[in-house]
Order: sequence, then structure tokens, then C-alpha cells
Amino acid sequence: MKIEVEGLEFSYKEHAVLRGLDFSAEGGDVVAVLGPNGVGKSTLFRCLLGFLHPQKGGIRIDGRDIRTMSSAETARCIAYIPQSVSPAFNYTVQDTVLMGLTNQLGTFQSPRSGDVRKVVEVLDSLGIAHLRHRGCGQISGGERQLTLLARALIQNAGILVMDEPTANLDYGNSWRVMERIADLARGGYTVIFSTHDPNHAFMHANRVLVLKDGGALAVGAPREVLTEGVLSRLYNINVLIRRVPYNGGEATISLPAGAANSD
Amino acid sequence: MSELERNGKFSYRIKFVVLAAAFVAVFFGSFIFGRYAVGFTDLVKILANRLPFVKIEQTWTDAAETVAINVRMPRIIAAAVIGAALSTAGASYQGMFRNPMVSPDILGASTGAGFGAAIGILMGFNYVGITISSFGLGLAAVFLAYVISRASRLNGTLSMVLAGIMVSSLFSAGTSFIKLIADTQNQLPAITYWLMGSLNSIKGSDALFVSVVVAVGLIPLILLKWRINLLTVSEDEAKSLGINTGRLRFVVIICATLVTAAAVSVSGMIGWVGLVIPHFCRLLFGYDYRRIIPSSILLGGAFMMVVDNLARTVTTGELPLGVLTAFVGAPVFVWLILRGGASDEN
Repeated sequence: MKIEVEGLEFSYKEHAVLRGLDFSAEGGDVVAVLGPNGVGKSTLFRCLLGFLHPQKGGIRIDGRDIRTMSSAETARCIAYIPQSVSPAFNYTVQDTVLMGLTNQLGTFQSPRSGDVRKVVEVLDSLGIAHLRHRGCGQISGGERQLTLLARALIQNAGILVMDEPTANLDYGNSWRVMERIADLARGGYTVIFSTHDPNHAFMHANRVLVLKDGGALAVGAPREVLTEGVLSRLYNINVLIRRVPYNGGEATISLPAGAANSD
Repeated sequence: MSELERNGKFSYRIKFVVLAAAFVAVFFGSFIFGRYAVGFTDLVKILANRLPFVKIEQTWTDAAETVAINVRMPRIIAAAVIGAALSTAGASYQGMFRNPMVSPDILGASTGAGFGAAIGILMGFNYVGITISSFGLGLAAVFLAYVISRASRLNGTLSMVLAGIMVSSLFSAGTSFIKLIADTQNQLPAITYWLMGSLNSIKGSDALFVSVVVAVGLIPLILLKWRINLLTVSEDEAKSLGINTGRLRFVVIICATLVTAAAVSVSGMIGWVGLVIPHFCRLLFGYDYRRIIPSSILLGGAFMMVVDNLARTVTTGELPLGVLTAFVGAPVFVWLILRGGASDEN
């Protein structure tokens, strides 16, 4: 599925958050959205999901303006994976994933036993089928993130929007979740995720959107866009970019190198 | 389907069947309890004789029939309906506010209804007038809280809770004021007794009123039971799953308020049921509202019938229901807190 953002402008009252943002992504793309805290990443995502209506510009999914789509229609195109937090009610993994079927059910309909089979298949594809009767409050943060990913997959949407998918996850779980995301993109999904770690963009994304002061500071391939200068300006610290041998090839990593010179 | 899943479904079904059987047993058993003894055989004959095309030779006294049909039946039906209404409303509100500690009076329905009843008693209305005034002001209180929360800049759930607290305290201050100016011989005791909750003066027309209104409120909640699950996740998640959260929340508020106001207007203030019964349902059936809603109806109804049986039999006088439910509810709540809530189940 293709998503196109053109001249997007959004402000809360007088406070402009997004100014003239342009980018697009299609099936197979993994777009990492980078930017300091408060730059408007969440606002951008809320616009993409149709929760906020931009004052100017537009968002099109496969050529169709998102403003003309109902919430159920949007849910058939875009799925949202929030940060993994402990839920208020301890639903089982299976019940949580079943919620992803809502857009395929009538208002008064409930999932049937055939739907449970679909849940098992999706959980199996993510390697967590054995957890399906466990409560979401009793599994690890990484497993919970995979559960939310399963809920998004069963939604049958082609675009996955993920708000810091590795926040609150340990090193191993971060890696496992990001690997699954890369697998999904290889399978044809369009993935857009926000992150505070440039290394996630280098390792897992094929495109990067760098936000600064509400506009796109740079858009493109991670190695071209994420230069030492851009990252230093973005986070106000000195950053070193290094190429290291990795898995028989080469990987790019960024390293913090002390406070930026304030002059 | 795996063996575990089959076993799981099987055990849920068994639990439901046991719960439904307990509801039916408590319903019919309640006819027997009371100061005037009605034998089980007589009861079966009296009830069967009321069925169409059934004619049984009378072996019971007229007094037994009057007690069973005119006195106890409206009261038992009202108790079952009120228990079902309050616990289902509580369960729905808890899901909607993503907080298992919420009770049906969170938006002011009960305090509004209490104020309405106090006004009705002060103005010398008859029983029907008091019920109507109580029901109307119960609805008005929630409407006021809803309007205030819509006008607020705070996020939806927080503003609704704050508006509910504000409206509740306003109406409860109003009730205190009415108690202050009420005639201390007749009106003040009547208001105080009403506020403690009782089904002592229930008539057939009350049972019919509460049954019809509660049915109108409960049917949409039963039909929407799957979707109520979605209100328990964050607003953004629920929207991204494809539901109109504002519309769904509005329907749930209308229905839960309707059943709460109807119940309180007939019975007076009865706390704890709407808070504690949904917890038990979660312990027994898990968190899915497809099971919580029907089990709340059965367990809430059965619980209230048992409490009302106690209210009319434990002492020579009537014990107020609000007092009894708190006596039963408070220890249960302490037990739930000590064991860490229902969150470790399933």
C-alpha cells in the first residue's frame, strides 16, 4: 500500500507543529522517523491515522484522500502499534489479538471460533502462539509488543505505524521486535516507525524522515541522510558515524561523542 | 481446536450453567423466605396455576397466594432486575473508564436520583411521583456531567470523571440541604430511610417500570458486549482498530445511566453491587466483556435477591439494603485488595 503526504501543516491553536511536510512510502519500505522530543512525531502519526485533520496539505492512501475515509475504512488500510505498556485490564494475548478483527465485524457481531484460528496463525508466525492464554500483564514487554504487532497484522491493513516500537524493551527484545518488523516489510507491508536511536534506522530502515522544527530536515536513505552534521544538529550533541564489518559485509553505526560546542 | 481450548470453553460453559441454575434456584427459593411461610409444594402449585391453560385444584390458602404473588413476586423481580442493572452498569463504566474501581454512580446518577427522591418527599409527592422525580434527576445529573465534560479542554475520560465528582457533590449537598429544611417528624425519616435503600414498599407497577427501563438499557449493552472491550484500551488504539469511540462511549453512558437511575429510583441508594460483582465475574470468567456482561446480569441479580432475602428475614424489622450490601461488600473488597485484585487471574 502506498501512502503519500503532501504539504502537511498542523498546528494546535497558534502553535505550529508540522510545517509543509512531504514524504511518501510504499509496500516494502521501512521508514524511520527521527527527531528530538516534542518535534511532532506523535502529531504526524495521529494525522496519518486520521485522528487529527491537518489545516493544510493532505494524506492519500493508494490515491484516496484519508479525510474521505471512515474510521473502519482507515483501519483496513493503516494499523497502529502503540508503545508497549502494562494494560489496565489483564486480557489474554488471544483476546487482545482478536480486537484487531473489529473492522471486519458488524457493530453487534463478535468474533467466532474460526477467527480464533486466524489469531493462532498470526501468533504462530510471530513465534508467540504458546502465550495465547496468558494475560498481557504477565508477559514480557517484548512479548507484549509482539502481541500488539499480531493485533495489527490480523487487522489486514497494509500500512503499519509504530510509535517507538522498542521503547521500554531490553536489548534482546528490541532486536527481536525490529527483526520481525523488517520481515514484515520484506513481505510487502509499508512500515513507518518512530525511534530515538539512529542505529535502528541504520540497521532496519531503508528510508529515513528527519524532523526538525516541524519540517522535514532530510528524507532519504539512512546512509545518505543521517550524516554526522545532521545528527549533531538534531540532538545537539556531537555524533560520530562509523562503518564496521558486520555479518560478512558492512554496517553503519552512530556513536555519541560528547556535548556539542555551543558556539 | 486444541484440547486446552476445548477444556477452557467447556469449563466456561459449566460455570455459566451453574451460575444460571443458581440464579433460577435463588429466584424461586426467595418466594419461600419471609415471615409468612409459603411451602415449596404450595408455591409450585400457585405459580403453575397462573400459567395459561393450566388449572390446579386449590390446596393452598388465599393468604399464601396473596403473599407469593402480590407481595413477594414484585419484590423478587425488582431485586433481580436492580442487581442485574447495577452490576452491568458498573462493569460497563469500569471498562469505559479503564478503571476496575469505578462504580455506577461515578457520573452522578445515584446522587442525582437521591436528590430527586428527597425533593419528591419534601414536596409531598406520592410514591409514583417520588420515583419519577428520582429517575428524572438521576438522568439529569449525568446529562449535566456529560455536557460539562464535553465543554472541557481536558481529555474525555478525565473531564468526565471530574465533572461526575463535581455534579455528585453538588447533588449530595442539595440532598443535605433538603434534609435540613425537611419536617423532622415525617419527611426527614422518610428521606433518610429512602437513601439507605429498601425494596419494602415495592408494588407490581414498580417492578414493571424498573424491568421495562432496565431491559431497554441492557439490550444495547448485551448487543455491544464485544465492542465494550475496545473501550478498555487507549483512545488512539481503539480508534485505530476502526471504531467511533465517541459514539460508542455515548451509547454506553446512556444505557448504563438509564439502568442505574431506574434501579436507584425504585430501590434507593444501594452501593457496592456495581463495584464488587464485576470483580467476581472477572475472577470467574476473565476480562472479555462477551462473558462479563451476561455473568454480571446473572450474578448481580442473584446476589441482590439473596441480600433482599436477608433484609426481610434477619431481623423482625426491615434492614436497609444499602447497609446490608456494604456489610457484605466491604469485607469482600478488602479481600480483593489483599489478594491484589482480579488482575492475576487467567
